[in-house]
Order: sequence, then structure tokens, then C-alpha cells
Amino acid sequence: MPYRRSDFHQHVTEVWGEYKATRAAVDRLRAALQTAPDLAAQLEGPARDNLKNAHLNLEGTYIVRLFAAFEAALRSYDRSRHGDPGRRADASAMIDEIGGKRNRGLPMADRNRAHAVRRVRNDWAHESDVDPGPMSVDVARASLQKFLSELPDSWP
Amino acid sequence: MPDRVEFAALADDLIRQVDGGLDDPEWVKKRYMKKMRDADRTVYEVPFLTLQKGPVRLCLDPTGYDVPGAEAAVDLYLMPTYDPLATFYSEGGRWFIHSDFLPGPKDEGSAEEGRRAPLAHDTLNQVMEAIAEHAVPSL
Repeated sequence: MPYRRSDFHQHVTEVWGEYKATRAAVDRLRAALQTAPDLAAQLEGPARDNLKNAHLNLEGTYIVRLFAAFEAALRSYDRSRHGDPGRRADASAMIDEIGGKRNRGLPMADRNRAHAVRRVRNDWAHESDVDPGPMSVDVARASLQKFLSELPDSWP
Repeated sequence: MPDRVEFAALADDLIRQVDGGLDDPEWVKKRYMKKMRDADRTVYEVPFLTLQKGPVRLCLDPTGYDVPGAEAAVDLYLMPTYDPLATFYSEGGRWFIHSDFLPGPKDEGSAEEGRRAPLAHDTLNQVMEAIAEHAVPSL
């Protein structure tokens, strides 16, 4: 049964949508606590203690998930291209190879944007000592969706 | 509360209204089926519509039925970046469109009220033509 690019687009969209809902929930709770501090006593300890970090780390958390969804699409296509279901190329190599002239031939700007999201992901996953700078979830989503849009409609 | 069967029927109803309701013949529409997974892990299908006018490509994408205040939600995105343009909500059996591309309320009402309207033939065409003329991908 072929893999459909639209399914991978859908997964990225779902993760982005979850981020929107979670951001709204965290913002509402923080606003409610500002106006009614007694609400704090109703929150379970870890939830109360970590609300600030949840707020500060929300974008990073979801950029990691967005990139995971994107990487799943790349890996599926990469394995199909190479006829090797066990192949495990790293994300950087897949972005360059799939986006390169010998495959999908994406503009350098699109490849660079995908790499930029990858570097932000690496930073949040504690795999990098280099600060990639801030990135919004919307920019991450748009960058990854644009790259994915250049893949074929389906692959075996 | 609706279930996936009702949701699929609602999504189909909206897709048909949009597919059949656009006046400009330059809109090219293609309908696909999209797989979704329900809370009990059952996989089911709902319709999904892509639309294109000139260089502007859109997709009308059913989101789900367990949405606060609505029986169903369907999102309209600008491709290829999936920038959100509008959301259609089924409320009390009637579709409403939420979009910044709705004609504004001018001096009356709130900005929120201006961004929400019952789905009607003229409203749909106003929004879609505004999108075709003004929507630009974020990247």
C-alpha cells in the first residue's frame, strides 16, 4: 500500500493544531491565576510548580514534535527511494539528499529553512551547544510543510 | 454528541457546499478521501477538497468532531505552507465560517463578530475571492 504525502502533511498539521490548543490553555490558566490567585491551591503540585516552565518551553516542545513528524515523512520516502526498509539516514543527510539536485531539486532557501528547524530541534533535544536563535512554531510548521510539499504525491 | 459517522456526513455536506457553491469557473477543485483515526483507534475516512485558482492553492481539511461548541470543524489552509485561512464550524446543524477574509463589520460590532458569519453562497464567494486575491504564503 503506497504512502501518501497528504497523510504526512496531515500529521504535521495535527501537531501544530495541538500546539495551538495547548498554548491557549496555558495562557488562559496563567491569566486566570493572575486574576484569581486562589486557583493555585486547586492545582496539583507538579502542575502548579511547573506552569511557568510549561509556558516557557511550549514552543520548543512542539517544534521537536513537528520535526519528528517531518522526519518520519522523510524517512519513509528515503527508505522507499533506496529500497531499504531498514535504512536509517540522519535528518541532515536526508534533507540534503532528498532536497538536492539528484532528487527533488528544492531551492536552497527551502532546504536551509528545514535545516534551521532541525537546528532548533537539536538545541531543544540537548544535542547541540550552539544556540540557533528563536523560532516560532508557525515558522517551523510552514518551513517543514513547504519542504514536504515537494515530495511526490505518493511512494511505495 | 456526534460520532465519526455523523462527522463524515457533516464534512461531506460542507465539501459539497463549497465544491458546488463557487461561482468563478476558474476554481479547479479535486476531492480526495482522507483517513482519520478515532479515539477508539478505528480508522475512518472523510472527504478532503483541494482548490486552486491561478497560483493560489488551498485545501479544505476536516479536523474533527469533538470540538468545544461545535459538532464539527473543517479548516481551510493555504498551500504549500498550510497557513490557516478560515475555519468552518457546524453549530446547531448550521455551518459558520470564521475568517479574517470576511468583509469587516465596518464601524459596527467587534472584530470577533466581523470574523464570523453563517455560511451562505455570497459569503463563501466573498471569502474565497478575497483569499484568491490577497492570500500570500508566509514563506
